[in-house]
Amino acid sequence: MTVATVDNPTFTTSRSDADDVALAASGDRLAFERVYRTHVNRVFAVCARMVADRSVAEELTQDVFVRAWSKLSLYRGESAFTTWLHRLTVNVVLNARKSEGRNRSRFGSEPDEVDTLPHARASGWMPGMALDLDAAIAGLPPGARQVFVLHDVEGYKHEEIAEMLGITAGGSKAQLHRARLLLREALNR
Amino acid sequence: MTMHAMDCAAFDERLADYLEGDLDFAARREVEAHVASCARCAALLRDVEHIRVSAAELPELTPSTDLWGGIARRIDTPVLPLTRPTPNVVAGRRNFDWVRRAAIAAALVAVTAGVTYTLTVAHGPRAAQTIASTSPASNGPSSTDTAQREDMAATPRMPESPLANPRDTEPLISPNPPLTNASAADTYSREIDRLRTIFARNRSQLDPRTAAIIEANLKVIDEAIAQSKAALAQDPASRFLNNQLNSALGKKLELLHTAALLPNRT
Repeated sequence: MTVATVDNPTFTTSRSDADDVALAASGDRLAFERVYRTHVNRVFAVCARMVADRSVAEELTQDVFVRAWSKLSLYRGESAFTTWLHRLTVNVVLNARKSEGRNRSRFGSEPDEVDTLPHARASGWMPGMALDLDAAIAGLPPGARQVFVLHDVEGYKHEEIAEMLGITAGGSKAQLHRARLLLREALNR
Repeated sequence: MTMHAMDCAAFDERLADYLEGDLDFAARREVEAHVASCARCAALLRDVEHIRVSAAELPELTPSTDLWGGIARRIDTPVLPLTRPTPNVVAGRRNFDWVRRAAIAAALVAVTAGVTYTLTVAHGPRAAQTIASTSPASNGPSSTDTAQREDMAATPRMPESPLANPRDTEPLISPNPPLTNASAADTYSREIDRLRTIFARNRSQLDPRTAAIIEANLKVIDEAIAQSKAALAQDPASRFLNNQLNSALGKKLELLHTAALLPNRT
């Protein structure tokens, strides 16, 4: 990781994200605000696509950055900061899902085992309205949606997804295929 | 639909494994041969591939509002202990109000002091050094967890440097004052004065309409502060009034903090 030093003449004009991360890790609030502004859209996108609810996603995005602030001192630069933050984001979303298990409405109350067509549940969908991919993803059953987002959108491997979600790699593959077919059906209508 | 050994039902069964690369060479060839001659299955494969590629290219999304304010408040909250053992039950309520008020004041000052100092010296030749040195040791992520602080030993840190203002001989940031009853209001007042100075200095860089809006809001907040103080003079032990005053002072600090940052962001 690149570390800013007082001898670095470019520091004041081209402070990098890595510099801000290092400063934030040492408690610099301004640096952490810059880190937030650099990464907020990516974090929010992960949250929004996984929970299919923008207001919940905004709450979770705040949770992610509050948690990042408290954990940043543990980040040692062994992986890219974006990777670290991304994994933290997924963990926050999944932990919230577990803790909010009784509050099914936060993550969708429909039984996941029912292959309801995405278009029928996509927020704001009206007959005849063209669905874009994001809207179609939002309409997926929660389990299929999470696997699809983690695999096809965010690039995780099935083994990683299985570990995160507490399912088997085969289960992850099955959910992914199911999600793709449901999306195709929704997008072709 | 097909004249090949594999029919559409078999294709459907194998499609997931095909996309995952889990089929052996012979099975893959069989699937591909079927796709080459079956429009239905070719379209299915094409659509699913398109979804996969499109998903990987989905853009980032933007929240409907700036979430930083909420994050900043939550970051501040757990840093300082908001409860302290009180010497006796009778005085507990009043002590709690003042301790809480002092703690909030100190937390807000810790937040804004870094901004004040950074902004004040931002144009100085040693800006990088001073920015690095403003990291509030008592307000950082490691301050909440001693074990985490120990873990930070391996985290790259900026070297310490004296908090000297290149323009003035008087340091802009003094150590956080003790959390006494009398010092809480003074602490607020000092930091507000510093931020006001920065805002006044940077005002010419702002759009006049923006500056006018900020000043109008400051006036409203000042009125709320005055009303709270007047009411507290009549009922000093009122937790509600203390909270109202804390809230107003906090809003004023936050607004001045934002205002002080504006020229740097534009």
